[in-house]
Amino acid sequence: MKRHLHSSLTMLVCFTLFATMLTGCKEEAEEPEPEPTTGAEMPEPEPEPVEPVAEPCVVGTVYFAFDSSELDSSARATLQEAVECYRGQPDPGLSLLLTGACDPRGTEEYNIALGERRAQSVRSYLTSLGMDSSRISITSVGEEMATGTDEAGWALDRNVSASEN
Amino acid sequence: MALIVFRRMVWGAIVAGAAFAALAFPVGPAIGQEEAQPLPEDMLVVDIDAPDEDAYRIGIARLIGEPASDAAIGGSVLQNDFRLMPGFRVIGPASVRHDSDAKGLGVDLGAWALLGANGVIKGLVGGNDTALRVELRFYQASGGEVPVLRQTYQGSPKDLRRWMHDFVNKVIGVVTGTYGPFGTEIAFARKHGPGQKSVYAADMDGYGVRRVSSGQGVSMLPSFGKGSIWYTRMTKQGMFITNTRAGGRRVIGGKGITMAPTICGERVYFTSSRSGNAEIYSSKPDGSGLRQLTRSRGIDVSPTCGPGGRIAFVSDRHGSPQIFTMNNDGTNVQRVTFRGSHNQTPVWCQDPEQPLIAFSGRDGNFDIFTVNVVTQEYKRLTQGQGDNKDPAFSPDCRLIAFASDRQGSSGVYLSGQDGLDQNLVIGGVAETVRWSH
Repeated sequence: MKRHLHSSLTMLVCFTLFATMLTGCKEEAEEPEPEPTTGAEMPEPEPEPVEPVAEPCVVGTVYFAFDSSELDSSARATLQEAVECYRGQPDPGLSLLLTGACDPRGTEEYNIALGERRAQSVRSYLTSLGMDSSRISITSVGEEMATGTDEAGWALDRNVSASEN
Repeated sequence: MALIVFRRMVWGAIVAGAAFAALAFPVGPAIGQEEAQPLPEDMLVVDIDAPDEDAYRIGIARLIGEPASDAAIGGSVLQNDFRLMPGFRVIGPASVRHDSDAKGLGVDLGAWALLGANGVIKGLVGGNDTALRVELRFYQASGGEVPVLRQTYQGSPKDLRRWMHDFVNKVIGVVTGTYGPFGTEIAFARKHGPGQKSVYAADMDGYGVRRVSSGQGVSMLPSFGKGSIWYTRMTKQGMFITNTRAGGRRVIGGKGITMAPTICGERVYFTSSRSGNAEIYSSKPDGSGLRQLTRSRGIDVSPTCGPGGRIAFVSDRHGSPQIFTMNNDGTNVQRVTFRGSHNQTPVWCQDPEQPLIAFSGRDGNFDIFTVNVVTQEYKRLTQGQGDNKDPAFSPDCRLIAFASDRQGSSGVYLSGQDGLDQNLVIGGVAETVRWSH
């Protein structure tokens, strides 16, 4: 569900604290402005100005080791890629829901808490990269959505996925 | 390594095996050492065909009288209950060569003695489809032909099973000094598919399995309260605690996860992450009077009630999930399990004389263990048969129910405290077993 957020909130804020990661974020994200089209001054209609069509940014699903909520290098790269994408675009005014999940081999209660901790890990990392934590909510489905029956399947079950909230 | 113990052998193998086990797995907490010791191996039991000198051999005659169908049901309930009960061996009607009906409700103890019976149950059924009367007698070999227990039940035929359970409990009381557990209930959850789980309840002998949650989405983690079964629902609008009286509507909720209620006296204990981390809380049954009981950086889940106001729970505050206990106000926290790396879903024996916690220990697969909270003595109940987890004690602690996915026969099993006498009572996928009290 889309939510209208205060205009002063921007999805992406550049933090000098993490300057090493900020290679592509030197200034506030620019609003690409369409060419002014004041029809009266234009003798003949021109083709619609082509607004740069930005691919929607996607926070890719990240995966975890057994009983772990640590982000490995692959997970960090996936999240960094998403943040870089957001930096290159105007604030879409969305908030994210991160859903943590586990493989089916634990106990149900512990896995619900572990899934939440995984989602917290992802939120912390995204926040550290400059995303606004107030616009990232988290939840956990524990092992309730797990489908794996072997190590390869379980590895896919242990994840945090993102959706627009 | 499995320790082989020839059960029922008289030349000391059990003693030797136990001594070996003690040497191989010294008890006692490894203070300051995380996961220093593995969980104990199974003591492989080879059940040789020899008389079980310890078991009480109970003869159960065919119930006589009409309606024959009720007599048959009554007899089968009696036999099944004693088959599930550790320490008893059933000598059923099929074993009896003489005419056990000859004396009506009386008994030919000499004939039963030939079968090694220590006691005999006889019964007479009378009535019709709407009104039933059952007379039951229990004779002990030592007591002669005067019954040590006689009981007459009268009422609706639908109460037949309950009467049989009641009589079994009384016989167990006469024989062992402690009333039996039959007639109590078991609750559990069953996963139908991803995102599909329901809460069920059944009699502890597996009869009358019924779904008690709505059947939509995820309903899980049941627990018995007064007159209702509490459970957790996971919905798109969030996770919350409900019960059968509330019809699945939110009773206790909050930010983050809110789950796994357990009712201890007048309060509900549960896990919540409203503070940002999974901690144990308690509240009144309507959710008011909230108290936060744990404050650790780790995951704290799975509170269950113990005797004397103690609460057992799981925490990974020291790295991996282990069993802890605390007072019901959160004070006096003590770590209980020091062996194995993933110990979860604790449940207390409610008998203060038996300071036991049963739990699921991960050792490749999950298996059922008990630990004596005082002596740190561990016992393994299962090994090498898939995942066995989520134990629950019967009210008298003589039986432990648990969920198993052992190949070809998933379901809820009952076991004695020593891991013997394991019986499947509810077939099908099952998890998070709880026992009514």
